[in-house]
Amino acid sequence: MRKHRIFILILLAMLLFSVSALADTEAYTNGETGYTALIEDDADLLSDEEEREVLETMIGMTEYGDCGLKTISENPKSSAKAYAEDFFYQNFQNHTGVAFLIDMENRELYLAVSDGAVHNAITDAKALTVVDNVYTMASRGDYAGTAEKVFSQCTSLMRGERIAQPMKFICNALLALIIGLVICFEVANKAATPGETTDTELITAAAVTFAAGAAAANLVNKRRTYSPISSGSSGSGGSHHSSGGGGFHSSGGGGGFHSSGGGGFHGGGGGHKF
Amino acid sequence: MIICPGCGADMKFDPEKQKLVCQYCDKELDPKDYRAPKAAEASEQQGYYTATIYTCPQCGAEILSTEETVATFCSYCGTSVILEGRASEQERPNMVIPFRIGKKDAEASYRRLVKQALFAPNDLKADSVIEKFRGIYMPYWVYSLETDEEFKVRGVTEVRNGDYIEKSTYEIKSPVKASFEGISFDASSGFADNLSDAIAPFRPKDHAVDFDPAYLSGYYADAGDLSPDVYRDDAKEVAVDNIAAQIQNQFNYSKYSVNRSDLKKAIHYNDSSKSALFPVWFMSVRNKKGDRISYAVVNGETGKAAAEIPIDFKKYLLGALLIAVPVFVLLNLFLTATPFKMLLASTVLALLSYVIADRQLNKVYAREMFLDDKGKKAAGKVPVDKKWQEAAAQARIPEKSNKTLIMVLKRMTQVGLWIVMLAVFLMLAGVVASVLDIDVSDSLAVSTIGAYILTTVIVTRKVGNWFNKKAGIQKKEPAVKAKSSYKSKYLFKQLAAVGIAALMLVMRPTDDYYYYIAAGVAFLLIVWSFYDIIRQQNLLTTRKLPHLNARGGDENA
Ligand SMILES: [Zn+2]
Ligand SMILES: [Zn+2]
Repeated sequence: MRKHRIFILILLAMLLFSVSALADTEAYTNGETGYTALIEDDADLLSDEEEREVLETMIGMTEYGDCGLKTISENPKSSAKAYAEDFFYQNFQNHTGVAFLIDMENRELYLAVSDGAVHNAITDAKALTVVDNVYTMASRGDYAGTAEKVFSQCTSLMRGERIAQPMKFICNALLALIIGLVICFEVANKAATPGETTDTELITAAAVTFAAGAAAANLVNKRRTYSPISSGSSGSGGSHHSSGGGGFHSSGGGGGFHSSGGGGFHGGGGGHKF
Repeated sequence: MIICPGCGADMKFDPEKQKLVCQYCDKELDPKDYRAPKAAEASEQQGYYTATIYTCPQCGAEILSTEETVATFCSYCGTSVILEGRASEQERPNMVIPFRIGKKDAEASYRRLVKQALFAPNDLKADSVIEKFRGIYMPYWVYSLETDEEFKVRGVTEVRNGDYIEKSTYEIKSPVKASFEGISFDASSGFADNLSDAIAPFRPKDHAVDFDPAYLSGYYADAGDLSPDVYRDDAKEVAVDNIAAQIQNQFNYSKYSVNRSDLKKAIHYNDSSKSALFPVWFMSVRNKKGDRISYAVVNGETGKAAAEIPIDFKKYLLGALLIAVPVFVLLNLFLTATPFKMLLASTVLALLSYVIADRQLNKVYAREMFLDDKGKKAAGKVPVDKKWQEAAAQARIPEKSNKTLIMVLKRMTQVGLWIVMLAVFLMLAGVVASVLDIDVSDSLAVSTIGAYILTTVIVTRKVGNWFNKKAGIQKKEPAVKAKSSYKSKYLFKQLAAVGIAALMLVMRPTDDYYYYIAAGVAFLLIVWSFYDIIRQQNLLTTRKLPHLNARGGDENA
């Protein structure tokens, strides 16, 4: 059948293309630590020259863990994050290190960070900052520069150095000032306005006589609210869904999570659109 | 002036000893044993006593003294001037609570108060200011109320029945015989309501004695200018609350809302509202510019102090910076600023600032128009400023309406509007998303919900007003809601901050710098709005200098 033949041809062409793309890789293994650096430029964003330059900057990172760069033009996974984590898991058996993904389909950068010592140095917040500091380069099309800066920042962080985040400091400073203004206003307001005397206080100053005769009470309205005794003493009525039940899902907090792709990636990371 | 029978020097009333004490030879005399000179006795029997009235040439305030002293400053406007005195016959009040708190104790009570006010201007803590506390007997009306009628109140019981709680509302009818004696409100329009409220109550049942001019010796008295009618309703409210609470308590019902206006009708006055003089330590401070004044008062019976304490802007800013430092450190540790978080924070803080400022502007509005002061209104005092006079004339008293059908229609229309607007906004969001080719993400959802709530609140309010007009109802409290044209001068900053944040979330530029700059601008607008808030706060804690023209026309003619 002709249709089938065309289909198979296309499939073959794609296979060839992907093989050629797969061939576009650079790798390095650190003799002392055994950690490796790997570049897979599937989207063909880097020239051979640039790949070698980027690999140079990745070498620093191999002192602390594996280090990967992946560029893709199509992302079959649900997100850049999922792809980056799978890429890391499939290529690095040590489960220690970082992987940086340039996802051209979603136009998104993502830095995946493994659990443990690396994640202690490159926290999710820091990973976000690292990517934030480079996404403008990516949107200009300077992918080599982007990757180089990501890995040099990662290496700095592993060495315990700081990376720049000027805008954040300014915003945090203003935010802190406003919080100070609010708190001080509440304090000042409490002290500044004369208090009010309640009617109950006023009545204590008066001489009161009170005598009530036989009272008649007519029921006006009755409402039943479900409130199981077992639910404790709150007794607030209203919506009582037995919230106590259910299994315990360890939500894992900020750090370790399970990647849904079944890869078993532990760690965190950060990303940015560009 | 009371002359010492031993040496002929001045005698003054001493709060600690509760006796007249000679300033020269320390001889003590019980005021009850003091006999006025013959000449004065005649007028005393007709219910009058002789006193000198000092009138302030600046503000027209009048204070009385039984002594031939020289008054060198006015407590109401703070002017340092020798007040002109003239002899007069004053009506004797029914009772007096003699000063029980001396000047030193009153000053100490005030000092404790300003000590807590961290941002108070130093002037307020200066000895030279604090020593201006002056003991003034303030005129009060002591109301006596009684009732012997059937009261209807509502009460609620809660009973547990297995897994259910049964909440039953009862209407309780109970014949009540009750009397209240000694609920008091001040009778001087110069003594601001909020201050007299703050140092209440006085306890005439414990400490009042028959009036005798001897108690005034060493002190001043305010002549008073208000009739007992002014605060009658307030006295009734106090009694109504108490009766309702007592009925509800008696049958173990928990509190339920009470229809006050019905209950008030069942309470009657004894015609014998009594006039009284209660002891108040009074002090005033002008602000730096000298155009506004704040008062401090101490209850001369109980020692309770209240003061209007402005905020020193420099101290306030310093305090804010001191708090900002640790907050900044914490923020850097725990919060990573992302553009979205920063815009969200600026929106939340702008709305917070809006709520604070809005509440305050309403209060300032009410204060400047004397709407929060029944005494000033009753005395015919009017705001000095033209703009406030006009606003006061427009403010009307709310009326009750029973046009229930229109009210039901109004509610239904308003609920309908919420639903229709929700549909419209969801559609709009969909259109915007497809036209701009952006995915329906958090930020779009957030800005859509924000815009929905904002416009719907405005539209339903307008619709509600229209219905109210139809039904002939004024807004519930037209008096204390400042006009939006007045508020918008201040509130635009917060709104602009929210607008900038919303704009960024809708436009979604790629470059983070736009977000940070927008958030920064929004933050600066919020800081600016707090500058306004402090200025408004200082309007609330100071008053326009009392003014001659502001006094009611012919009360002393
Ligand atoms: Zn003497
Ligand atoms: Zn004056």
